[in-house]
Amino acid sequence: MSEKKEEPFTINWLTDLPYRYALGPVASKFFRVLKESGKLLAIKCRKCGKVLFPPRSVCADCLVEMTVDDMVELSGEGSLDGFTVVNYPFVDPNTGETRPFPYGYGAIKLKGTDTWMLHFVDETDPGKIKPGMLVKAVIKPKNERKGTLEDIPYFRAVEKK
Amino acid sequence: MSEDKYFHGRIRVPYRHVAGAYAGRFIQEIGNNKRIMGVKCSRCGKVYVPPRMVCFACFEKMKEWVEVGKQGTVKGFTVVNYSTPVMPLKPPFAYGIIELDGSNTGFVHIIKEGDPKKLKVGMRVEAVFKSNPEGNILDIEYFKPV
Repeated sequence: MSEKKEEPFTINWLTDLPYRYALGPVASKFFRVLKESGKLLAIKCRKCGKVLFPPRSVCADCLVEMTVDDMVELSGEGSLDGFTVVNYPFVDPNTGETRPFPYGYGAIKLKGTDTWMLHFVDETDPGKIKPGMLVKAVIKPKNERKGTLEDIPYFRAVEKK
Repeated sequence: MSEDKYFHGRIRVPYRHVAGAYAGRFIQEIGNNKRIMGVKCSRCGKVYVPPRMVCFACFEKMKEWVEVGKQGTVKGFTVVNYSTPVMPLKPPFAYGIIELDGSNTGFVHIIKEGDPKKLKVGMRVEAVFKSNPEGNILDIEYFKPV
């Protein structure tokens, strides 16, 4: 006795939750400076001297609260210490669309800082990546910048001259 | 003098949930036939709404489908006053656990009544079906007090 193979009953649902997140003075300054001058700011703890990027208002080790006056400018260059090529159709929650893939993603330690940032990397061939290699943040031109993390679309390897 | 900015973000993700044969029939009966079906355990006689394949108590696979009433008794409720774009109804309204006539389980759904003075455990409610079903649980649009 064979059963007719039926289509499994599927419920399709679009979750769409807009939200509003209060940034606080440190993150507000970070995004304002990024938008207006295309520069990246980190923050330096007055007690232990650690430089944190992305900037935050409380030092992770000391629990000392920092202010916008503790923020320092970075060159935008750093070392790519971890790297992966993503081959999976992840959905970008900002749009609800799948991200085009493959794309590179890595852990970058910017020069002058003591922490890593996880962000997109403009490379999909793992053979071209050496851990620790020099990369630089690519910033959008001023007329395209919105004051969000998308103003830094990715990090790119710095060509050796 | 600090500057304060808001980040306007969104979490927008499409889901595809394969609900299974029992949930599938349950929702299709609501959408197509405007009736609420449960399953009955042949061993202990318990009627489950929403239907499930295996009886909690007996571990028996249930195959008998029964129609339950479109009315039921409220066993518990909570009033929602908070407004966000994702609410199924405009607040205030209530979420309720409803024991439909003929079933032995609580069924969670929306009650279209936001005044706590008008809601009571033990009150009677009736299902209101959506005129254009979409293939999900909100094909019962809400329950209204009767």
